[in-house]
Amino acid sequence: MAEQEIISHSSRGDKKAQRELYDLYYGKMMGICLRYAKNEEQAKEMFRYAFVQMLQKLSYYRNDQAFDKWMRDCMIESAVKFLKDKKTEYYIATTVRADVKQAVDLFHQAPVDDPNNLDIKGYVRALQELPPSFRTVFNMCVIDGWSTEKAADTLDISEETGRFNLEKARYAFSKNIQMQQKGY
Amino acid sequence: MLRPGTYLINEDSLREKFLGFEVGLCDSQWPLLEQEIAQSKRQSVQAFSNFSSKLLIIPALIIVASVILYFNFSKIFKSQQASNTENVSLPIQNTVQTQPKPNPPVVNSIAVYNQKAKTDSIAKAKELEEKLKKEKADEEARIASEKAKAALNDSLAVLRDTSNVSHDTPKKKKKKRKKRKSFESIENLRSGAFESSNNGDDVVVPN
Repeated sequence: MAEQEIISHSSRGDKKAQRELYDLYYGKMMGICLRYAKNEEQAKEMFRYAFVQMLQKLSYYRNDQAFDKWMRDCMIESAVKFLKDKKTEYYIATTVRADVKQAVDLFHQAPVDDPNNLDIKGYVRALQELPPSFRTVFNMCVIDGWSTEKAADTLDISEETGRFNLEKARYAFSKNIQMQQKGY
Repeated sequence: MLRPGTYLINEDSLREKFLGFEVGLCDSQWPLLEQEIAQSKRQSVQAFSNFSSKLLIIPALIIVASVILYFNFSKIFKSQQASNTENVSLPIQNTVQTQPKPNPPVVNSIAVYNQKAKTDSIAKAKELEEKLKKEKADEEARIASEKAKAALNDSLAVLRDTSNVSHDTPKKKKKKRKKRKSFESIENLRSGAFESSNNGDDVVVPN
């Protein structure tokens, strides 16, 4: 079955087509979820939630847009919604990390080594160790290439807060990589 | 404070790495995912049915309200029409409420007695007045009858007087005189005969 057929059949509730869609895009979708979630377990839960959400929105998909890009945006939005639904985890984790004085002191340390030496799992781990608010804004703006304005709009925060969180996330990410390189 | 540039990460290479990032297919996820899809479908159907039921309630309520209003207005319209035709303002049945009956007044015996006495005295006065009127009328009638009698007697007397005056001619007068004389003679005879009969003499009475 061609991609368009799979999409159209899946939107109509055809289970076979949905399974094919799952087989086709599981790898990519799970990759996104691993970046946004704090661990693999949460990533799997997030993937199921995002996949159901995507199936519901599938009828709104138009052929003039690349499905890959549309699906990526849809997954990111669903991931953010999933994280925001877990309010206690999302906001408390951010607050606790912001209160840590050590995080501020790290700004004055030496720049990290070239991170390209690390494998992808190391990067994913460094990302997953970030607080949820930092992780989401870093993923959106640095990896997925969203503007801070769009990210702030999606996260329901002001643009300045988004920028501030992004800077903090950048530093925390580099610090996590540094720690990994040092063998922590 | 945050100072950009104090850390160095090659973001472009990082982006490239993550854009191509994929994981291997995991079949164990599918059954769980299938369950969640079915559940979401059920939820959406239920939500739709709830929404549609709520939507159905609104027009039903509107219909009921409109029917009630229609009946009320038709009643008012009919009553207004009737009042227009009869030229009498009739009260609207629905809007007019039954007024509570006034409490019975406290019985005051003195007031009742006074009232009774008043009515009795008025009745008595009326009766007396009527009696007086009757008496007066009788008196007047009696006086009138007496007057009438007197007038009649007078007139009769006058008539008698006038009857003695004769308007006859002398010939008639002579005849009448003769008749009277003959009558008187007969009368005299009769009276004499009676006297004689009383004396024991038979008298032949001419026919």
